[in-house]
Amino acid sequence: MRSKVTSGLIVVIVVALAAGVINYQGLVAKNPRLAPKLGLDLSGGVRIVLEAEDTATVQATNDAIDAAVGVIDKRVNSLGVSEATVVREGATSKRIIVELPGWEDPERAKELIGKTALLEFKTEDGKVIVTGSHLKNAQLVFSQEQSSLGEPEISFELDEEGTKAFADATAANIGKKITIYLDNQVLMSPTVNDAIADGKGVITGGFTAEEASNYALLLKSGALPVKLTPISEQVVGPSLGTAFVGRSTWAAAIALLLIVGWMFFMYRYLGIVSGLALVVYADILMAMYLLLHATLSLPAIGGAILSIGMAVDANCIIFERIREELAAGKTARGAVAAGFSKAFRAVFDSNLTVLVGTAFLFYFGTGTVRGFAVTLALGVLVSMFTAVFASHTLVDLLLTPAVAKNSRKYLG
Amino acid sequence: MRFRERVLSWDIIGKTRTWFTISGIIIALGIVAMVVNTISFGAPLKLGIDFIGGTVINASFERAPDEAVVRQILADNGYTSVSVQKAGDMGITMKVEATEIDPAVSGKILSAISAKYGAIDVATKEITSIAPVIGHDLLRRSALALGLALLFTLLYISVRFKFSFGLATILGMVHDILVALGILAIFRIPLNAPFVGAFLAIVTYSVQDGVVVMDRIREKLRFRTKEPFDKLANTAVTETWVRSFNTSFTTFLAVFVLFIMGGAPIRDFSTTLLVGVISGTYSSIYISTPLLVQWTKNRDRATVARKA
Repeated sequence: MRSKVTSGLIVVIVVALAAGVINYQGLVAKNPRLAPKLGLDLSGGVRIVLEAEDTATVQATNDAIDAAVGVIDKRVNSLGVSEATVVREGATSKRIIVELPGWEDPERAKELIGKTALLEFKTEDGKVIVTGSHLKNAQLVFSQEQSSLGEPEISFELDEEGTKAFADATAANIGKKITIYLDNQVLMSPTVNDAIADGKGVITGGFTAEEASNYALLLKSGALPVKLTPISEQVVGPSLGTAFVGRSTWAAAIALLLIVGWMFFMYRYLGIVSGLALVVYADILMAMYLLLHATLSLPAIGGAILSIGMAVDANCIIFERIREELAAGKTARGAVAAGFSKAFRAVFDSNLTVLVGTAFLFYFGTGTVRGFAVTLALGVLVSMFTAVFASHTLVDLLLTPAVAKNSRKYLG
Repeated sequence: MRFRERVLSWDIIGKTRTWFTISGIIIALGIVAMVVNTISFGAPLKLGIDFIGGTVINASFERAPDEAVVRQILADNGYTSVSVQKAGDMGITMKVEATEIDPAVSGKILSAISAKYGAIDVATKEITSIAPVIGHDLLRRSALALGLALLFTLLYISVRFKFSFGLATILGMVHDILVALGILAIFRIPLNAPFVGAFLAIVTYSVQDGVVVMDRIREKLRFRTKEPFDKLANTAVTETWVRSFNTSFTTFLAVFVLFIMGGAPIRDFSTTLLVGVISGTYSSIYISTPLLVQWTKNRDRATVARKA
């Protein structure tokens, strides 16, 4: 019996300490790999929802949308937004959600995200020679020519296949014009003087330096394979979130104290156990959020607070059961053992019902619903450990012969 | 404690009609409010822009903007049907429902206000623009997720317990949803995306609470003697009453602290949760179990009648 309690206690302490270390690293030492991930509603930033549309020439197929996600991801990453996320709303959805935490300007974001950036080189009779997909590199340069000295330009370099096609086409079109289109707009129409064999060139088009640099970035990350239209955008100021995070941390601490106070009033010694279990619960839950990089948003915090209530619930069910067993005339030890084993079915069934529900919410829900489902499910799982296993160990530990003899006084 | 013994002597099932009347009145009030809302505002519930689409612009400036001036600036840009409200000391909230403000225009509006009232405080700037289609979609998908979650909860409880148990629990949940919707309708609290979370919380809470009571009835049934079902159910409910109260009270404490301290952004959300916690506990004791007793009685009577 004692050895079982000791090993149980070691497990609880090790888990709690490990969680504590993770929390310390993530929250106090600000280890970037464990930093809490705040939802946009708390961190502030720009959120844009784009919808893929079929056009006369391009169909918004599944693959095209997936490819578009990849392209946008490259673009926002080269903007240097840390923690930017680009996801498809659902596996078959036509919507792409872009979140740029800390970003304030939705205009520039949309300019860079929504542009198709389809670069085409066409001959005079309209035949496409190469497209942007054959670009190896593109960058902003400043003209060295005497006539246009210092003007911003885009220098480009084609890949092997593109270079060959370009060389063939220029050789066949000497003396004729080749037109460069970007998103179906003419950028320039130079006359071919010589065959260009090295696949390198410069596009001039009266750009400003910023435009040239934007285009270079867009061209490098590739053209969007599908037309995207922004259908929703949000700019959230950072002040709301910071104030809320601070307040809700205090709220959680006060709520914890009140709950522990009430549990002590109702269940005496057992109440202290549930208080300890609740602290361990909060500790492990936070560590899980950090480890899984779960996004903390308003609904997610709602789910977390609700799960605190549920964590206490398992304790209430068990403690009530222990009292009933005591009232039925069992010894303290017998009542505790019976209480935990008989209450387990109720705890198991109620928690599993909730887990079944959250699984469906996660699978069918969108962002908000999913965040809620994840935190609630995590809470239920962690509470099974703390409210059942950890509590059982702690109660056994408290059950010294003196307590057992005076069970009415100590166990309420 | 004397109180516990008193609880055990309560006749909860015997007063079924009282509980059904109380819930009936609350739900009826909610329905009346929805009807009144539909007549006077065109919709049973006040839906926020997350659901009907539209644009909300929130910003603070160096000096407090005047509402009439801001309204004029919006009108100059072609938006006449708007609501403009002061927000905080130096802030202003502009809301256009069901129409999106072109982002370029929202920038223009803000600079026009800023020209009169000084630089904009970037930390407080918020623009939310949602296409009506996305709002409808959110509503539809959330309802679908909720419906499926309910269906599978029913299935799960039917497998673990009995179909009638599952149905009683689900009806308890429906009760809670109706009560919460009624409260939202009566106070005309605008419904936005976080409410989906609050609603799910209510539903989960209701199920979780109900299952524990059902578990006790199941256990009692296993050792059933000649005891009639309503007496048995009453014992089960009174025996779990203190636990139900304690759980709800602790959850209530947590949500209440959030309600007090969470501030404005989360006030409506926590109000819905508070209603849900109270209603969820109430329904599992005073609605689901009496319902179960009614069915069982009717079935028993039918069986007796067939035998006779």
